[in-house]
Amino acid sequence: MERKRTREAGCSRETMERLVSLAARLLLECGAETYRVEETVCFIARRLGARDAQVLSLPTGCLYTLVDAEGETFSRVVRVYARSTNLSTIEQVNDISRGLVDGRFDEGEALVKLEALCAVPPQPLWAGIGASVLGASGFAVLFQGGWYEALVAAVCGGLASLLSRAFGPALLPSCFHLFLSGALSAALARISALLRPEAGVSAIIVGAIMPLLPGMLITNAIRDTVSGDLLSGVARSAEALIRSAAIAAGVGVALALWRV
Amino acid sequence: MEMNLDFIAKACVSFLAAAVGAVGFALMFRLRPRALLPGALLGGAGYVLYLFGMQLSLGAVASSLLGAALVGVLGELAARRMKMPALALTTIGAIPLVPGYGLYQTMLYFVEGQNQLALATGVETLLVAGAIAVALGIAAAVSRSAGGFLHKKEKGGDNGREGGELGEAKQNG
Repeated sequence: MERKRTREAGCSRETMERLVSLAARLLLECGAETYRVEETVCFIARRLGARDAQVLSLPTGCLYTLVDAEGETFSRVVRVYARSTNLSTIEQVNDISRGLVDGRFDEGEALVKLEALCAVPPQPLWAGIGASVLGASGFAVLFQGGWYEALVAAVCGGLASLLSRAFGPALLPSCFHLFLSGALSAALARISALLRPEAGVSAIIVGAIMPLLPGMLITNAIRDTVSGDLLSGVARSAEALIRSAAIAAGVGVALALWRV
Repeated sequence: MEMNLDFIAKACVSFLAAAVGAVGFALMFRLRPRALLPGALLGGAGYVLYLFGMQLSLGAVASSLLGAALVGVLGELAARRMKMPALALTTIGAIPLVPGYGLYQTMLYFVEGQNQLALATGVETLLVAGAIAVALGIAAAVSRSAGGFLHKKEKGGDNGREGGELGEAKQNG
């Protein structure tokens, strides 16, 4: 116990700041829940000897104010621009912050581990396409499709995944590729119905757009709202609405053009 | 009888389809490989219970609540056993239940100008999402308070650091 205390007092402000900011940024970028980000910041800061820690986390960033062991106050803003879902990184950040709090390793080791997590390469192209193909075909069958519907939905899913790579968030607003994918899926579903008139167009479309839909986002939005993180809840709902509107608009435009 | 056989066949197909869909999502969300199989089984099991609820005409909201509760409880137990955060397993398991289709249909009705249908579908979608979130949230809260209790008891000893976690896993598995 004594050993712990001396180490806490020895932790520099820069280390505390870098650790806390890095953990918060990684969690936010990987789509962790609001409460997890706030708890992680508080736990790490307290473990490193902060007297007080106040955090406000939003889906687009995190603000925190810490009072360190000498009584000095400092505040930082961690702004996050690109968000995706990466469950394994959330799990690993969680492990690291737990290990730090339990005393399994010290702040230097934790910092090295967090920095290693930042350097993990993005998912390879084939894996992204494969995941999308599996998801799309599975859901086409779930919505009463047969093998033909599953096949067409798989093609649409693969193309949608390619599109989202081609039009990354750097090039265009993220809802643009959703619009394009929705339109493409509806058009392909219609074309496949020309080849095989008894094909279920709606099963194909729903299966193909299922991997794009923000279903998890809206469930998390409600979870945030229920647990009292009202701002995050509203922000996530808005994002979910805009994304689903973009997909539906794409599908709607393609279907409307087909009728003309 | 014929009805039952039909339902069983449908349930089997849905189980497989939901499991495949869940695996697709798990890969997309970069779940660790060792959690893939439990995630897929959870996804299938939750969806079959949802189908069963729909078969008993409980309605989409109550059926989703049932399915998500199963996913939540089994996910928390499996996560304890595998010593990983339950979030990863329950998120993947609940994916087939998430009302993405309802959300899409709502927006499609809006695009088509059928505002009344859009509002009705939208409200149901929100209720389903709420039911899933509540079921998962309750499972997580119960597991967390039970885990904390066990943890404290185990931590009475001096080397409570590792012992607490191991004891917790043993108690639940």
